[in-house]
Amino acid sequence: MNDSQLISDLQSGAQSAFRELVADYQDRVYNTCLGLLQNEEDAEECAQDVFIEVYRSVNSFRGESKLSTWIYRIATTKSLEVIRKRKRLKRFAFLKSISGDQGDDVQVAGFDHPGVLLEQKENAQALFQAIGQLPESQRVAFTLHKVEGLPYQEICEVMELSLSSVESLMFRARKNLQKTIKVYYEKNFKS
Amino acid sequence: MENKRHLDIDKKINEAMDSLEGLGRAEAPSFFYTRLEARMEQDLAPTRGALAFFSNPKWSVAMLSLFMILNVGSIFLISGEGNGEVAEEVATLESFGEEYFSSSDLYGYQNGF
Repeated sequence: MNDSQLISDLQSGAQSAFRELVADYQDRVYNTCLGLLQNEEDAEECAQDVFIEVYRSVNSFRGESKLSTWIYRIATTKSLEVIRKRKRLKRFAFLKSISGDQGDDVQVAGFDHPGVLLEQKENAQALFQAIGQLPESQRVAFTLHKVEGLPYQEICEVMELSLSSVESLMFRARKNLQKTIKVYYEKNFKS
Repeated sequence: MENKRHLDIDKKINEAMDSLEGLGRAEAPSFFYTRLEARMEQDLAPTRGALAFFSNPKWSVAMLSLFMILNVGSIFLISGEGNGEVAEEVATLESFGEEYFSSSDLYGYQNGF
């Protein structure tokens, strides 16, 4: 079934169309959320939120962008909401620790992406830790390109930016990652 | 020695930066659709029964506002009525006092005898 047929079936409320959409997109959405959130449970919950949002707002989808672009946009927006919520919790936990109350630690521990090759696990862990420290837009652009494998042109459409802006985000993301990883290895490297 | 350390660190940085080359896509967990369906039933199911309209935020806010207005109005009305009652009570007491403990001026005419 092509996208326009799928959208029209979704808009008419066909459950089979929704099931097909989830089957088609669940891995792409989950992988995007996982790359951004670096936690399996959060990524699954976020992926569910994405499909619930798609179900709720499919009638307002006018087809101005590709269906995949629209779904990736929802996935990045929902993931960023979770990241912001985590930051708020972290600030709250910090305030609680100042007041002597030991709250739950919301820090994400070393993350292993299931698609990383075995021999790259340690390096990828360092890289994911550094990705977690990037500013939001650099993090989204880098994750969509390196984790989800989207070409720059599709990232432009998802983020609603020009090609030069995405190139600039990727350049700055790489520079920031190199700096962060350098600091990490200068502290932890044993030759 | 220090130079070698720097070279090793640079090598590690490059290895880390290239570590996502050939990365496979993570697959959604098993029974993803079943869990999604269950959550959608929970999240999207309309509230049934006489209070179903409360699930709509517009109605909830409207009802809450009406409740607040009625409450505030009642407080004003009660406090207004209370003042009237107090004034009435004071007037009754004054008339009672005047009746039983009236000033001697009222009987001043008797002093003439």
